[in-house]
Amino acid sequence: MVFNTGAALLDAIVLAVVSRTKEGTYGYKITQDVRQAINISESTLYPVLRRLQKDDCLEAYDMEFRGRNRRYYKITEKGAAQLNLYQSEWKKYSSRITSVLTGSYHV
Amino acid sequence: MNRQEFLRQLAQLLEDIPEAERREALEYYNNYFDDAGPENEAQVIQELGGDPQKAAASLKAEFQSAKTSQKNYGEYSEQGFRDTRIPHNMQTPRPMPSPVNDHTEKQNKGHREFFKDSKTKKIVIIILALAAACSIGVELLGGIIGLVFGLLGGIFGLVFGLLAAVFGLAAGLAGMALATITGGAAMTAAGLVKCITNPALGLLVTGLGLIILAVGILLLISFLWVAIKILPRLARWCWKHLLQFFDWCQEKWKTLKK
Repeated sequence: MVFNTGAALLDAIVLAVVSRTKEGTYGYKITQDVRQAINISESTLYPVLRRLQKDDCLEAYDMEFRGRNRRYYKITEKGAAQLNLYQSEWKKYSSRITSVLTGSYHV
Repeated sequence: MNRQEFLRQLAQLLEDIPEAERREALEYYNNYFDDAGPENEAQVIQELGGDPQKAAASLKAEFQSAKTSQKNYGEYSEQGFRDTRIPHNMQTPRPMPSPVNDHTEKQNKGHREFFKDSKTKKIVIIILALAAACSIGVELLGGIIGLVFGLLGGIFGLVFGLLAAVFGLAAGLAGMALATITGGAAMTAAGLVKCITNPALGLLVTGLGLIILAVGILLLISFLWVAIKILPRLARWCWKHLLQFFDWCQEKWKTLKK
C-alpha cells in the first residue's frame, strides 16, 4: 500500500464495516473485512475499535460462543451519524485529490 | 513463536497500561486467535507484526499518558497537520472545522464560521487600533462601556423601582388601613359612651367613627387585593421580561460573534 491510512480514515472504514450488520460483528471478522479494503496490520485495529467504543460510536456486548466469551461490536446512533459525515467528507476529498492527480484541477 | 508465547510476552509488555485496559486487550487477542482457528495461528502472529512488540506499542500509544514516538501517528489532511493520538479539539495549531462536528449543516457552515470568526477579530482589532491611534480613544471606549452599563443599570433601576413603588403603595395602604380602623373603632366606642351623657353628640361621634371604620376596612381590602393579586403578578411579569431581555442580549451577542 502506497498511501498511509490516517486515523480518521481508519475510523471511517471500521465504522462502515461494523455498520453492515445491525447486530454488529466480532473483532476477528471486522479485521478480515477491513483487510479486504486496505492492507493494514491487525495490531493497529484493536486500538481503533477501543477508541471508537470510548467515543460512543461503537458499543460492545459479550455473547457466549462455544464455551467462551466473544465480544461483539455494533454501531451506535452517534457512530452512524459520524459515518455519514465521513462518507460525505470522503466524497469531496477524494474527488478533489483525483482531479489534482489527473491534472484536471486548474489553480 | 506460538500463540501462548506471543500472548505471554504481550501481557508482559503491557504491564504499564491500566489494568482494565490490559485485561480487555488480552481477552480481545485471545478471542482473535480462537476465531482465526488453530490452523491460522502462525498467520495471525504474522498479521500482528511477527512479535508482540508492534501490538504492544500501538496499544501503549493508545492507552498510556506518556506517548512513545510513532512515526505514523502524524497525519496531513486538508485540515492541516494533526497528531492522531491526540483528541481532535486539542491539536495545536487548531485544525480547521473538521468532520467531527455533530451536525452536517454545521459542517457546511464550518468554513464560513471560520471566516466570520476572523472577521470579528478583525473588527475588534480595527476598533482597538483606532482607539489607540487617537488619544481620546481610551476615554471614548471607557465612555461607551460606561454608557452601556449605565443603560443596563437604568433598566434594572426602572424595573425594581416599579416593583418598589407598588410595594410602597401596598405598605402605605396597610398602614393607613391600620390607622383608620383603629381610629374609627376608637371613635365609635367613644361616641357610644358619649351617648350616655349627650345622645346627640354621641350619635354624631359614633356615626363619624363608623364611617371612618368603614373607610379603614375599604383600605384594608385594597391592601389585601394589592398584596395578594397585583404584587405576585407584577413580580412575575417583571421577572419574565427580565429573562426575555437577557435572552435577547445573548442572541444579539451570538449573532455578533458569528
